[in-house]
Amino acid sequence: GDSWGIFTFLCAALCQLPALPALNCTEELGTSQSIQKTYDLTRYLEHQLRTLAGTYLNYLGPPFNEPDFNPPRLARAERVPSATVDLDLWRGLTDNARLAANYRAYSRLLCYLRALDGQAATADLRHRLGHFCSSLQGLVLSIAGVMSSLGYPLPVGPVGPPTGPPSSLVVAPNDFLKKMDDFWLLKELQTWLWRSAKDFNRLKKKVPPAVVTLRLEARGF
Amino acid sequence: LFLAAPPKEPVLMCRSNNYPKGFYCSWHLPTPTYIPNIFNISVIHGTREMVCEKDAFPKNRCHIRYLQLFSTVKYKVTLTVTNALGKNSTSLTFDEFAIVKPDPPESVVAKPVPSNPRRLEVSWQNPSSWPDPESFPLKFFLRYRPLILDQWQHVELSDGTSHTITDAYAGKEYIIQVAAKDNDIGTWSDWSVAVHATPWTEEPKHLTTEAQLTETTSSSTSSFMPPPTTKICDKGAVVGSGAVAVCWTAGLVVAAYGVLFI
Repeated sequence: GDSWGIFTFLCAALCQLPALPALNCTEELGTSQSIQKTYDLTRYLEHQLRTLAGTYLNYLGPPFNEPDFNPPRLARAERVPSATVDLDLWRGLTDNARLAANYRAYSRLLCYLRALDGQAATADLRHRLGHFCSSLQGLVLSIAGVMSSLGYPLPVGPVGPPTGPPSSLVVAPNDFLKKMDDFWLLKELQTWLWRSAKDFNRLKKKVPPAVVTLRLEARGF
Repeated sequence: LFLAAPPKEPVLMCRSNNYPKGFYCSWHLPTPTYIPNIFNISVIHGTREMVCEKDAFPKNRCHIRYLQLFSTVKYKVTLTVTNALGKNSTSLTFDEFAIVKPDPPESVVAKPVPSNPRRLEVSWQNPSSWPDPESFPLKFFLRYRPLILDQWQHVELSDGTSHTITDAYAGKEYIIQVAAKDNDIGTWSDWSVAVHATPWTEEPKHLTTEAQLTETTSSSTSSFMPPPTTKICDKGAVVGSGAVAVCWTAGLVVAAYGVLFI
């Protein structure tokens, strides 16, 4: 067993996001503006991540901070839904599925990043991770807002990985494998942010303001 | 009489000008060997070896289709060149997003605007090699200057394939170019073919006032770098209302100077 078993359990228990407060801002913020705002957030986070990842990978040390570092993906359980997807499948996603995939991914990523923050050895890293987590939480809420304004239900259930009895901490974690996990977490996060820009670009095109007004009226808002 | 030689380390380049379809790699030898060479290219993505299909034309080029998008695993391309006297190789490792570079915009047209001596209307088209501008929109960078001056003015456009220049010097012939970039990833294209245009004038060209010219030539030059240079801010810069300015590019400095000119 390793400490990741503990973390996954904790994530499942702690990372239940609060029920979204009723959006009364749909009058002020059209859905297309919410989508734009969410898109802008992903771009901002992607930029922030570059600095954060650079610092964190330097903290992990070589080979993790080498630009050509290209390790094989170890056959460990995928902790975070991967951004990687078949092109036609990605194109064919419904708006709901597209948003839900983003929502689930960032909820999970936020959880793991918070765990990382908890263990970070230096004050500088904790500060950076803390700041990034706040921004990332903003993104999760922003996506939830878009889903809500389009009338889509938020994905239910714990947003952490499947629970199981927590593994015992008898065996000390393998330090190198732990670092690999951190490396892949940051990589997955980076890839999701790249993908989300494309996801929200697509959503922007498909949700013109006029359509949103009609939908709101139909639902008696 | 030439001396046959073993191959030097080849030069390899990979680029995706048709994202998200795939990418191509092209190569050449820095110096000739004067005897036949065989090129062998391999592409590895994670644990999978992919086939890079050689193009009939141009030679020394192959293309590959993406099987998946938004990949976390890098691509490693290795080129080996062999001849009767020896062999050599080189390799590139890159992320899917890093090699995206569109072809320049096509059909750039610049026209004067009747009754408007300071305007020029510029329009262009997406490069035809870019397969899906709907889902993968491009943004554009326009640069223009009167032929008589060395300093370019720049405009970045996140939407649309046309722009009206409103601060042209009356009666002066302008040179105009456009570059393209995926909205979010990769690097700027090369500049498009240059087009020339002169704003509308009521009569045959009259001289611009001395005041206008001295104002231009005495302005301090900003240290602007052309967009095709990859800048960390290019990928992060957000265009649009309510955007958070996360970085300060030299382009913004030039835009500020441009505003002063009007």
